Amino acid sequence: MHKGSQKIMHTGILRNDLKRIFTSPVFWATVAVSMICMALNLADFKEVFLYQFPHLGTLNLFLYSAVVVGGGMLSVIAPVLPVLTFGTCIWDDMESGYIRSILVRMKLSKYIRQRIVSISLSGGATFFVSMLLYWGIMVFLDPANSPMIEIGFSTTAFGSIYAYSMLLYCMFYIVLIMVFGALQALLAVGVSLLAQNRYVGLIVPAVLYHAGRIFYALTNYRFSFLPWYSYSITDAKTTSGQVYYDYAFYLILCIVVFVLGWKRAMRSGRI
Amino acid sequence: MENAIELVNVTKKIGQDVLLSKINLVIPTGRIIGIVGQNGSGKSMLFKAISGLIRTTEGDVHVWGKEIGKHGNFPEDTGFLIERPGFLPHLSGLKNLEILADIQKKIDRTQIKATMSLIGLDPDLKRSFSKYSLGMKQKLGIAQALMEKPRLLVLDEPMNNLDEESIDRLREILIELNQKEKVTILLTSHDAQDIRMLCSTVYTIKNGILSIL
Repeated sequence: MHKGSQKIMHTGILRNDLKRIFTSPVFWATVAVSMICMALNLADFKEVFLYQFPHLGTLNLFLYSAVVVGGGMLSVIAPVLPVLTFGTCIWDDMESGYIRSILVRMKLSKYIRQRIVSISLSGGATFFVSMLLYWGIMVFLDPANSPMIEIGFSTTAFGSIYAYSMLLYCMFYIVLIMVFGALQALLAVGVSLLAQNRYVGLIVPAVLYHAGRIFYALTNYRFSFLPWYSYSITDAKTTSGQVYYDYAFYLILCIVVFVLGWKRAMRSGRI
Repeated sequence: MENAIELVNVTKKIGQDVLLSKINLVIPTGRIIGIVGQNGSGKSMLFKAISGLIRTTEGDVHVWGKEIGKHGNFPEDTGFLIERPGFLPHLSGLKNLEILADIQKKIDRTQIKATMSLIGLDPDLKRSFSKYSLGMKQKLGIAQALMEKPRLLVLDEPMNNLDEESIDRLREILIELNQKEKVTILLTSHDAQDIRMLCSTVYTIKNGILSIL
């Protein structure tokens, strides 16, 4: 085709965002780090695989790698990963002045809606993609698809799902941690607007997460009735209800911080 | 004949500060109108009101007969350059413009490239926007305003950071657009000389008060 006659695909801002996310080296780096952390988690449990249950199946391996994150490397890094790709994009648009060129072409309400969708998807996809890829590797390592062995998750949060179907439990867990990633990214965008600083936006959600968990541990879980989000659903102190409660609280926190941040950004005269 | 822009008693206050004071302005189709004023006089705020980026405290803004700034309305068929040109720093100039062009889906890559060439930018340059010189950044901002071939151009200090040759070229482009395409142009400058060479009518703005020069 003649070079001069080539046409761009008219994709709209949301599809353009998705293209930017999934072609971003940062996104794939976060996916890789997430997978490495899961593999390290698996290494922590090598005694279990080698001696206690030498014929553990794919899903068992996946569960040990991904779900038992309470003490693993992933629990330390997980709160930071989903915000890195697109978590501060609204602030970036404002700081660069790009938002002015966007808002003379589309309604503000549509811009916010589309950005919230792309931010959530970028945060959620970090875990979704890494866990699916990791699961794929587990299947590759276990072509015989060894049978699942009950490894005690039926007494933890969502244990009834585990008891009903371990496969369903794994899928449910992936969705749950995907929501965690989405919320974490949404909190980052609100914080970056509120602090008027991209780096504060990138760091504060992780700091809040760890501060909450350290507070629980230091107080010996006496204040576990306080809402605090948790993706470590195999934590003995975490119940199914607590997880729902935490996520609802976290969603409200995201909305409040975003509204406050947006108001502050509008007052700053950056638009 | 339809007016391109109509402002009626437009006032903008932030706290006790009056940034725009009861501004009345009618810009008929096909004219080139200039506004001169010092930094901080209210030029950019006026353009933000016209673009719908800010809500006015009082008064009405109409662009092509459509009320702007209320219900999230933005002006149609209008190209804007307001304050410093802002783009995503890690993307090339072409990619930045493609993302913006995708929003309204009016033009394709060929037309974007043609506009960049017209303004004196190499569309195939892979360099990221952050590595552009100030003059190149300004040119990209102007290309962004021109690329969708709007009927109205609102340009805030378009000559900023351009060398003499580029300023002359931009003047030629604007005059040609006005004469051949009947594009209405509203532009500002703190340099009255710039404005007089292009504009049929010139206004001055000081402390948010607009008056004819």
